[in-house]
Amino acid sequence: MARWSFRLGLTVWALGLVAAAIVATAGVSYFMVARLSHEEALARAERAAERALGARARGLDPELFEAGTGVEVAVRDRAEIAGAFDDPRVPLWREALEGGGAASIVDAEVGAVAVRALTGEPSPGVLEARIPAAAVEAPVRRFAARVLAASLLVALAAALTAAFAARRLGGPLAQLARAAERLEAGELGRPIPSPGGTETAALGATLERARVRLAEAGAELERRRSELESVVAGIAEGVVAVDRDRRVRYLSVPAAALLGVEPSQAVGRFCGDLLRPQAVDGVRPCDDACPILHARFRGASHAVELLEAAGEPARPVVIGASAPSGGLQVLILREESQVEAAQRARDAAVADLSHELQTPLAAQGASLELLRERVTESDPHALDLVLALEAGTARLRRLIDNLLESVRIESGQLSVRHVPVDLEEVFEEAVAMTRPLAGRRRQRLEVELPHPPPALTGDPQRLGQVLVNLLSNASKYGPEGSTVRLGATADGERIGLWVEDEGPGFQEPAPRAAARFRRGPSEPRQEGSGLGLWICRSILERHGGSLAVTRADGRTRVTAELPARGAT
Amino acid sequence: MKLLVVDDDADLRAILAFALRGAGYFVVEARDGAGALAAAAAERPDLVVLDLNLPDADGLDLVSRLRGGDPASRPILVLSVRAAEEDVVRALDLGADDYLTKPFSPRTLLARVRAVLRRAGIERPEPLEAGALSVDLERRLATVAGAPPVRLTPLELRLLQYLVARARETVPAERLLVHVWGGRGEGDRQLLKQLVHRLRLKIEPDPASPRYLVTDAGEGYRFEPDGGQGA
Repeated sequence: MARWSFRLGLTVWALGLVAAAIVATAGVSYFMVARLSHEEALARAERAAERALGARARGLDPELFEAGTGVEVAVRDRAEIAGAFDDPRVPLWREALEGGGAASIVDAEVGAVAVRALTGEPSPGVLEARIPAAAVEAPVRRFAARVLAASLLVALAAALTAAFAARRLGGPLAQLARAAERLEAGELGRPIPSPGGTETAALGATLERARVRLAEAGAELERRRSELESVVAGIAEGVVAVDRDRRVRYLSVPAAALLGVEPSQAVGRFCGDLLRPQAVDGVRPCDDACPILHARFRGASHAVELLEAAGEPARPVVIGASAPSGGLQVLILREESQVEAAQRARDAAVADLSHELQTPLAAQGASLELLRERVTESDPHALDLVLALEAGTARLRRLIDNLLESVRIESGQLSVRHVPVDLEEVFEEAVAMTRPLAGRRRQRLEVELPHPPPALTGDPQRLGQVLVNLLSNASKYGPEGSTVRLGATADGERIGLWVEDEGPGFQEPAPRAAARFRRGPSEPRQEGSGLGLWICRSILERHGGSLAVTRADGRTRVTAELPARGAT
Repeated sequence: MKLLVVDDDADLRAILAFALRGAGYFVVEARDGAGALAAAAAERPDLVVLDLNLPDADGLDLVSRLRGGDPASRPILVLSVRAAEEDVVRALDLGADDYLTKPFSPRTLLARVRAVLRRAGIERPEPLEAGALSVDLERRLATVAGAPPVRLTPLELRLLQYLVARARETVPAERLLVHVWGGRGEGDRQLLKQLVHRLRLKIEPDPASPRYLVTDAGEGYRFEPDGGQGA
């Protein structure tokens, strides 16, 4: 169906309405005028007939009497009536003659006719007064002509009015329609007018406000985009965004320079094909050690990989991967700095050294235990010396354990087991490890483990390490001769392993206190490496747990909170 | 009973041999993989204590080669530093019978060696029995007068073993302290009390009035095999 413009539609509609009104009015008027005109003519004919009868009775010639009045008067005798056949008035004549009275008609052909029967001799007949049809119809025709003329005038006026109205109404709409088309096309520069009446003006104003806001939003968006562009371009590190299939979707200029590729060629390629990490034992890290996948399932990750991008010799590149956001993950790439390379070398050296130390340390620990059993009964002074040696060995062992664990955490190699944990044994071992340290400070260790202990899933060795670290901290910060308490509480699905001391507590919230190589305010320099809490936190995170510090009644309680069923 | 000790560290090897000889085993030593295979063939040891980190051989490879075609005989106890935990799991898969991490306690090593030998049917199990008490040493399960068995921790077992060996005799707290932890301080005394308390929770019908593990005030502790009835 073809669509008409608003203007054309309005014009046609108005014209139709006017035409219908005219036709109706004209029809009714014409009918009434014709009827009035016929009645009037008939009455005149009747009156003329009566006058002519009167005149004849006075001996005047009725025809002459009525001459000049526009009325034709005639006398028809019987013979004439009898001989006439084809005149339409014959029935009328006969009616008057035979009915003995009067008859009259108005007929379009003959006009208005009034017939009177004549009496007396000779040859009685009828008297007929007739106003000719032309005279009867003339006023009707005149009226019709006037009506027609008036109708035409009215129609013309209506057409002009409709056209004007359509122009007044349709014009603004068409204008707004064009403006809206410009909006749609994204031409936001030209203002939108508020034409026509209140409604169209309001529509125009609304559209204008929408245009202004669109223009502002567009400008803001553009500004932010260019800001972001310059921020990303200003990041010395390479920024790469990858999608769910690990295909590159964005590559910053420094990233392109680092990888030696054109940004336009890189987009759409698989990350591993672009970065080309060096294979380990013939396996590409993409398949089993991808930092992107790690970040996707376990949160932001960090790795150092040897990249062979652009066919150059492999270079160590630090890769930070973010957790997914909006289907994209962002990688930050930069060449490993000298400091980091040194750090990595240091960590590797620390790991090697710690491993090297473990065997002689094991020999020393085992010898001391064997020695202790031999001197027990004989010489108390020798026993004290052996015990001091054992305490030192335990401290060395704790230190080396922490160093190794810290290197493992830093290089992302810490993996925890999830097996049933016998908390009694874990506590026993932790107490045995820290007992010499506490003993030197004349501190008492008090275990408050429920019987039977709560069931827990996790890595017994690492949880033991957490306890040992918390205990040695508590011993360090607790005053000499004080009591260090430790225990476990179960609260539904959460299990808390806690250690409490009478020390000054932390001066800051736990997460900062647990930073790597951070010491408490009063921690003696020679004690520990500051690694303890940091390691606890890392181990707990991998169990789905956390570290909480509370202070009450002059005691500081550090709680390792863990899910009973272990991390999933 | 002949044991083969394989470790590249001479000091550690000497200590292992010393501890094992002290327990009555005949010990053969090897310092590398080749030596281990040669000694295993020549001496036919009943058990091998094997360090996984050897200079000339992959420890895991050695586990399967020592096992040879006869998985039923010659149990292997693996000794490893903690970093090689994944290796240990693989070693157990390959047929090792148990593992110990370094550093280790010689006493624990002996207990594990005995357990492995018992499991292999080479040494006969010797449950610790005294009156109403019976202890499965290997699984550390204690049964008192027909009650359901309870699992003891290593230190609880150590304390109980020491007291059972000196049944009906008052053992001074100090001696127990030195034996269990090797400590003599005031704090250690407290720990001993806690350990005795936990042990009583496990073996006494009524821990509030102990019958088997009796305190002799001011002196020490005493074990009564028959729950005080025979005394």
